[in-house]
Amino acid sequence: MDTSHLLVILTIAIALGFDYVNGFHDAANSIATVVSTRVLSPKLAVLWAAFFNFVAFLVFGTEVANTIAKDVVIQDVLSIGLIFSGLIGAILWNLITYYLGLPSSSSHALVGGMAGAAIAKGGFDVLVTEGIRKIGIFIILSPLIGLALGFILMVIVQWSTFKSKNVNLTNKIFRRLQLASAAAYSLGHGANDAQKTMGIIFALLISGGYASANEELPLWVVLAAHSAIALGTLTGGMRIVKTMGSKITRLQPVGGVCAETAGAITLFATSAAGIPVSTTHTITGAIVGVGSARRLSAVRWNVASKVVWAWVVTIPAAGIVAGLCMIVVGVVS
Amino acid sequence: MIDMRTKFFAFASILVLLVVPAAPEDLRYVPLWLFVTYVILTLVCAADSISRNSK
Repeated sequence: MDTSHLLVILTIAIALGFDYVNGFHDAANSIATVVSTRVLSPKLAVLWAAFFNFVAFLVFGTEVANTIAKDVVIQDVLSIGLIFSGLIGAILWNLITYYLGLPSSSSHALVGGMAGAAIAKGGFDVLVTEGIRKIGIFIILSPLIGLALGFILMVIVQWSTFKSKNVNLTNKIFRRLQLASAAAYSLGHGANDAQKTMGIIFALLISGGYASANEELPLWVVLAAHSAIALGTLTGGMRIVKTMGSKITRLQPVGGVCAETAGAITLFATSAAGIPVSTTHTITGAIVGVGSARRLSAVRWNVASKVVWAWVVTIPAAGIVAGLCMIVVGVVS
Repeated sequence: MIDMRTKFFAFASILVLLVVPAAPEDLRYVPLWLFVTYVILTLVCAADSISRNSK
């Protein structure tokens, strides 16, 4: 086996590892409310979320994967070293933010890493302007869409249950509905996040000459990416300590259903349109929307502002780290 | 007196409006609709705030 073969296998393993950590890290987002309201036991909840993470490939296409593979960096510049550097840049930035306690987005780090490595290799001209513009715009819009939907859903639910005399029955209904909303959110999370890894692997296969850009995404790539994220969810969800749900605002079953539904609708729409977005920032926006439907002071703004700062800094920072990696890879090779 | 929530939604609507010209043409309807949504939310929250203060 020659060196380039080994490098491809190593980079695929790193990409799948990145996907696994994504599932591990984000598992709590989709199961927090289900577990805290005791609708499901922690074990059943993670199985529930992991199952819907995995089956997302049956519902959604591979548009997001195609965007990552073809609409970030022009095909001629793609190389194994570039993708390796992009991944390492994203992973290093994630480790730095984990150490600093910043809630950064793996998706932003991945896009920033790819773009940074490409700029280090060939300057700004090697970026696909339209693709980068689309991704950049939706980095801003997706949390705001989640926020507006979360707020509107919460107001509708508050109005429709306002005159309900049987509070126990209302609670019981929303506890059950959480099963559906958590499943929908996990489906959206699996669809959007696993496809980013698929896109990276596809770009790698194209750059190594193992696939052409006009081909369909190989099934083994789809299955491997969904398995990695589902496995991450399965292991990560077991250690629920504090989650987005309780950190940003205190969620009841009603709020949990509204936030997860708002997040899921945003992720379904962006996945169908082939737009990679941060699932963490989308659900954060939805939770803020639900919290602000009660009163704005119900939102812990210091936590939310930390998310916004990480939101602004992640892409350029991951890009710089990946660019440095690319320079090192260039020197070594 | 306008409450914090109204100011927050007004700020969000301005932010979304700034994004409109930068959005790709085929997806420009998304920030446009989002802008309209935030303007409506701002007006509704302002009306709610004014009616609470007048009581």
